[in-house]
Amino acid sequence: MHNPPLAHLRFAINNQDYTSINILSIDAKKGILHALNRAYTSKIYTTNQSSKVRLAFFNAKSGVVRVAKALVAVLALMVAPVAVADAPQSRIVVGVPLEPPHLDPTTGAAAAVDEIVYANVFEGLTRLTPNGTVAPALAESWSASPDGLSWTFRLHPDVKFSDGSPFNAATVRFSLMCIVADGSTNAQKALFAPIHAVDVVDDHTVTIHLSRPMANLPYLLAWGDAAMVSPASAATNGTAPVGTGPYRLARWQRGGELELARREDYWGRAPRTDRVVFRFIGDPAAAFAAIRAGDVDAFPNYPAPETVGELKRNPALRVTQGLSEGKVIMAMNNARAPFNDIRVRRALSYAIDHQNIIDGAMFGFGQPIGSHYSRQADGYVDLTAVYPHDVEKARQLLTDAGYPNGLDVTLRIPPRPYATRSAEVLVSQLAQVGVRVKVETLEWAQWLDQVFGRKQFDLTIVEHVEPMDYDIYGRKDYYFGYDSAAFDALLAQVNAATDEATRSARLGDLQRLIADDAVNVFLFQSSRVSVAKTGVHGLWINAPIAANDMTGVWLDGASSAASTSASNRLPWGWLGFAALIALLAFSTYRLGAAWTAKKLFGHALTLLAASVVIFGLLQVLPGDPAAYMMGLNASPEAIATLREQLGLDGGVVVRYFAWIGGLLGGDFGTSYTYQTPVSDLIAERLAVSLPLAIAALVLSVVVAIPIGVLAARHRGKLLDGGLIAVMQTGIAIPNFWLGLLLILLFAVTLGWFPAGGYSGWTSLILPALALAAPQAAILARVLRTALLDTMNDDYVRTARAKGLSRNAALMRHALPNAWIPVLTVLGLQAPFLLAGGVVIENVFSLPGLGRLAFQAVSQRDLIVVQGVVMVLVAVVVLVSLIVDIAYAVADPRQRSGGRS
Amino acid sequence: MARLRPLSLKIGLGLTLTVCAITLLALIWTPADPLAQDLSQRLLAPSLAHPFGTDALGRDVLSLVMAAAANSLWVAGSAVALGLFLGVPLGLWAAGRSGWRDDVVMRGGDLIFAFPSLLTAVMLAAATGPSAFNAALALGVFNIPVFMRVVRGAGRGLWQRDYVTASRAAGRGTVAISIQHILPHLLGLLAVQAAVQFSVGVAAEAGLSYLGLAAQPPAPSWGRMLAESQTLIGTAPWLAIFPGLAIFVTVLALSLTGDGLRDRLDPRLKREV
Repeated sequence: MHNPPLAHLRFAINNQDYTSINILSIDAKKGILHALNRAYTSKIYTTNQSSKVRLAFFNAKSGVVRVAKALVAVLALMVAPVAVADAPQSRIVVGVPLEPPHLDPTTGAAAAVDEIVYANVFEGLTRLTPNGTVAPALAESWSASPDGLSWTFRLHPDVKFSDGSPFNAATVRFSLMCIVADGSTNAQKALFAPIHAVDVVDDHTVTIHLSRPMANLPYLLAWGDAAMVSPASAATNGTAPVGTGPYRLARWQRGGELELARREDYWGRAPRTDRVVFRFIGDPAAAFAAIRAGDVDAFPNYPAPETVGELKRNPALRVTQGLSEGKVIMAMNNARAPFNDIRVRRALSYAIDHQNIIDGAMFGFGQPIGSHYSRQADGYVDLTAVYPHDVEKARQLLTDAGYPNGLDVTLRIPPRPYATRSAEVLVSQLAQVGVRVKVETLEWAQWLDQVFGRKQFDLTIVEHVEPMDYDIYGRKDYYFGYDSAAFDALLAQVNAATDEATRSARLGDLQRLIADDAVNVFLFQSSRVSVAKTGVHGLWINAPIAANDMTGVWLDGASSAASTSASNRLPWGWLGFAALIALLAFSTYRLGAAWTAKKLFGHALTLLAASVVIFGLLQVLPGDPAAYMMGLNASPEAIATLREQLGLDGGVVVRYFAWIGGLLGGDFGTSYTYQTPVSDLIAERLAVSLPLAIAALVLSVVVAIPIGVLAARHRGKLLDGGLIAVMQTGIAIPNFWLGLLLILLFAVTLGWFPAGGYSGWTSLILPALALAAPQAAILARVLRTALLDTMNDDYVRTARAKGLSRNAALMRHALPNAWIPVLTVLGLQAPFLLAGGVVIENVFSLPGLGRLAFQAVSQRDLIVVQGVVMVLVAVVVLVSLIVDIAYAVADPRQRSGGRS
Repeated sequence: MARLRPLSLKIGLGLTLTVCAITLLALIWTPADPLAQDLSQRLLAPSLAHPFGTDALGRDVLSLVMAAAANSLWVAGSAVALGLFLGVPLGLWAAGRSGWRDDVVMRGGDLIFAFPSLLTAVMLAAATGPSAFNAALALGVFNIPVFMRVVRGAGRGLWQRDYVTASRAAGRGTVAISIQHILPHLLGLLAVQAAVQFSVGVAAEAGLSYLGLAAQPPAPSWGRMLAESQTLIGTAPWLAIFPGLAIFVTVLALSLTGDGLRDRLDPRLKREV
């Protein structure tokens, strides 16, 4: 399969996005290694080896080491986050919609990476200013030769990477040659292709030699893709970024937040804020809740335009609207019918009412465009009048093209709010000209594979966020299938232009040609809506590049939003472990070793069977993890290599036993996406999910007992009737709806609790309430019924006949015996609370276990899915063991009985 | 209490019939075209013209809520049907064949129960691609062991009855006996369980479509309406209230019906969940 190059398409996507990641870079580094062999053999070879070792470690053979390592890792990670006091430093919490899969800006194509590291952690020779002009960064000055074929850059002296290694001319050569080397996975490799040599003139001077003139070289060098990296750390920048910027990575809680800390040894002017926390909030509702509740200080790329009207009325917040580089297009498959016919493409262009889409889908936060070109870029030509909204003309064109009765097409979109919202409006607009659209929302991984990779689509909607990416129209194998000799000629002229005027003129022609050929429907250019507390200064208004430059940002007056830095957490791992031991000891003492062993064996069998089912299920799911990870421009050989490295190439049985073997030693494997041990990820998420489940469980029991007892006590009376109505209501109310109503009341209106995100135990109160309510209703009902049943039993009747009061009989005789059905229900509920909270976790945007699994499925991070499900099944089994023990203790007859 | 039980059945049946009637009505008539967008009419508060208000695209919320009922009931209903079609025969078979075959079937059921249902449904739906059909499938899988257990549990007892023994003596096979003598006695129980699972299904479908894993736009769906309302909850609370109420009423109707039926069939049956 031949894949199109991914370069130049950076999707504004969430963290389920294109997962190029480190594994990919390992392969890349091999290629680079080859290319740069002579100069850097020793150093790169070492790093390359170490990453291999890292992978190999995951298949480590030494059982003892593995067991010890796993135990230490799991337990230490559960125990580690015990209350760390925040130093009195200036800090700012910034909401970002997308979590990057890794932090290396020079590999892969995730804009989310630049949003975190650009100018903060990594710097290039040049940089972009907030208004899009090029400014010096690591290079103090530069000049081009008259023929435009060589550029000399004068570097800043005394610059050091955050690991202490020096930055000099050799580093520049290394960084730039990495981009263009064979096997490079740099997303912009094609743009930098003219660089054929980099000469080290002296320690602080380099000359870049080009094969053809590049008038925009300083501009391109300002991109994150051209960031300067140190040979010593290039292979590990994905997880442990080392740059020359003013900040370094302090911690990264996957799925939650990432913290940057100021470097004391930074070469330039020190930034004003000591610590920057990027909190990942992809869901528009959660973003709204977070900014409203003050959980974040600023949201520079705010994803919920519909709420801006309300936020503008809030005196504590300031809303700004600037331009982003995001061009949202409805791409048409030019390579196949009906869209290989220009009349059909033009018909669709006429059918669209741009302003209506901007208002309807984006609440007015967008600007119309007429071609694939940003309004803020040099040489922009306004072509929005080429295809005015004209239903009649559209119908006529369709008739001319042979579709007098309209046509049926499929619109396959990625799961992003701009796409789903635009789709809803588009469907109704296209219906007016007789184009009947069927919408299919794909998972991001599916979209990349089927639409972007294999071009199985009629229409799609996607946002191209890369600046100046017109050259994608010249790519022969690009997903929308445009192929025009006229365009190629123009593109060559643009690239060859040495003076700005000619270049500008050719760029204008190029925009006109794309518009004239109606290659795609250019829906709008996204606005960059930024919301911040009024005390936040220095944020960019426009986004000439996807970045959150925090170097000039500070927060005055009020203190910053609370950290989620692991305060108020208990060592759940140790507590759980101790509890399990205590439970088994108790069971052995009370019920005998034989009974305990028998039960343990039965449950272990269930676990084993479950592991087979999980493993089998995931094998038959569509989607090859290696293919997803390698992205779209990987060769089949590279994918095969990766499969081998991941241990995916063996037979199913072999792989199953390898996985199980690891599990028995406590090794859950290494996450494909995050490149961290799965056990770490699970432990992090359990630290949120477990307290939530326990709180909900306790809460539901505490509420259910009095209600159940009261109802039973007043059986048949009005109170009973009223309580039954309450229980029925509680059972029927969808818990996530309850969650929404709780947010509305307690977080948005009263402001008592955080509305979303995880910032200590107060964040768990509302979700626990929402989770507990239906459970409490069910428990209360079961308790009431059980009480009434036992009240009819002989011994209770005897007690009553003996002269015991109804109350006394109820409390002393009926209640203790009503426990059994209640326990059964509790046993069924407990695992639900841990796992079934996935919807609640979404409502409150908590980084819990359910969301981890949800996310891992979309990323085809199968090893994580297996791990999470296995943990949950283990919980189910554990709870049923506890219930068995409780049964046996409560009812001695059960002891001799067989299975649970 | 004795007075309350028939009451819950009456209320449940009444509500269920109302929901069904509205669903059917929505197939042929709604106050406005549920998909007609009119941006000049966006986010209007409830009024006579739009009793439930309008949404962000100017669509009539009442019409959307009505039209979404069919989708919700379809998914939950298909999930129940899947459970019935696979769970009942398996349960009958397990009841008729004791020994290892029974063990295998029932342990299989236990195994499915060991998986957290909603999360697994979420994963199945996410993995197979979000659509109403896949949501029905994912929810249906978890209904299979539910019906299997009910049928097997009650069927076991029936196999001890004299007329079954007589029938066996007359040389009839397991299949014939199961269909002729066992199944008819289980219909009531199955109706109860079907109503309960139906109500669970409606709630679960709402959860899946809230996550964007069930019906896709522009098809109206309660769960997705709630998801879309979340950011507008401060300015347009009606968007969050009415679809939520619709889910609530439907679930309530079905669960009351289930409870009422259960009490009617056997007042001594314990109300286990």
